[in-house]
Amino acid sequence: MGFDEALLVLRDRGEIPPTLRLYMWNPSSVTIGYFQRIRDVVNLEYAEEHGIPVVRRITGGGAVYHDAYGEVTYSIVLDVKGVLTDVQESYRLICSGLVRALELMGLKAEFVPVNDIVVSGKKISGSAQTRRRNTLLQHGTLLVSTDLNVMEKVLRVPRQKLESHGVVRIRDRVTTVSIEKNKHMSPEEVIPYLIEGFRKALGVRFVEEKPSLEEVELARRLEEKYRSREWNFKR
Amino acid sequence: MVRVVKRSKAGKTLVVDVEFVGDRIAGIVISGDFFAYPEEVVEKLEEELRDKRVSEVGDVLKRHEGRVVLVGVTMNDIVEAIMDAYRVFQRS
Repeated sequence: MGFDEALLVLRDRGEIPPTLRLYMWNPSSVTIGYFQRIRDVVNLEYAEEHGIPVVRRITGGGAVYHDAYGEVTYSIVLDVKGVLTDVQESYRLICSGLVRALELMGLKAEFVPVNDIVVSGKKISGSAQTRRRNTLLQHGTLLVSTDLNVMEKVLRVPRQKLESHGVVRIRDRVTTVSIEKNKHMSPEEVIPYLIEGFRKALGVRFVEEKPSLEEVELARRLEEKYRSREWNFKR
Repeated sequence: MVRVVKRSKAGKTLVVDVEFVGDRIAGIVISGDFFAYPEEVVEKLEEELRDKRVSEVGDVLKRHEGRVVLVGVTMNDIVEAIMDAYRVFQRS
């Protein structure tokens, strides 16, 4: 999370170009939305017992289980201008990169406002966004082969939320690329599709680079916040 | 402490935990999976609502309307949730 915030800060200062970051978590982790109460949305006993760290994001939205072997997280920092000025339209545009990627994988995907992407009526991706003066950061998850058993155990979903979707369990509401393709796919396999999907959606050309020294240094400084109890248990 | 959980029309969860002393708000936490830009405004709102009468809630939130973009919930959803919590408190 520190690295995502570092990208936002550095882009806002004009020190790095607009950037797409694709990554996996190790170990499997849970992120929670900025406004969520940690005990409401995470089974902390289960998380601790299974070595699953929990971290609060700087973005709103819901809790996400990031499976080390079955999920890709994307983050993108862009200048707030043109269509991106409007919050809802910016979600639509950036999420269209994921929709395109899923289509390239042969899946029919649809953006469902505010921040979801669904395949076969089930959620396969969720995104969250924050903004600074001139820059937005949007990050999100793509479920590739996530262990839904663990997801159900580590996340607490309000009864009202499941009821509003007409389901009783998380797994009735979410799906993965592997389930939809009916074959196992790894996070590494979907990354080229994501790059191509974002390229098409945003009409840009990507240059692959390793993290810069300033990105790494700022991310390290921010790490302290994300590791602190004060931040993660602030609500 | 009274808790009210609501689902907004946009499909987001809004939770308010409110402590009342008489008709005043002694403490409040607004949480959920919604979005607010800038995020810090929600904490400012919670601070401003502290020690206010329930009858003042609408006015306090209205003052913040131009200062924040809420996505997934509305100011009205928050007002309604606090009023629902007060009704629960009165019955208890």
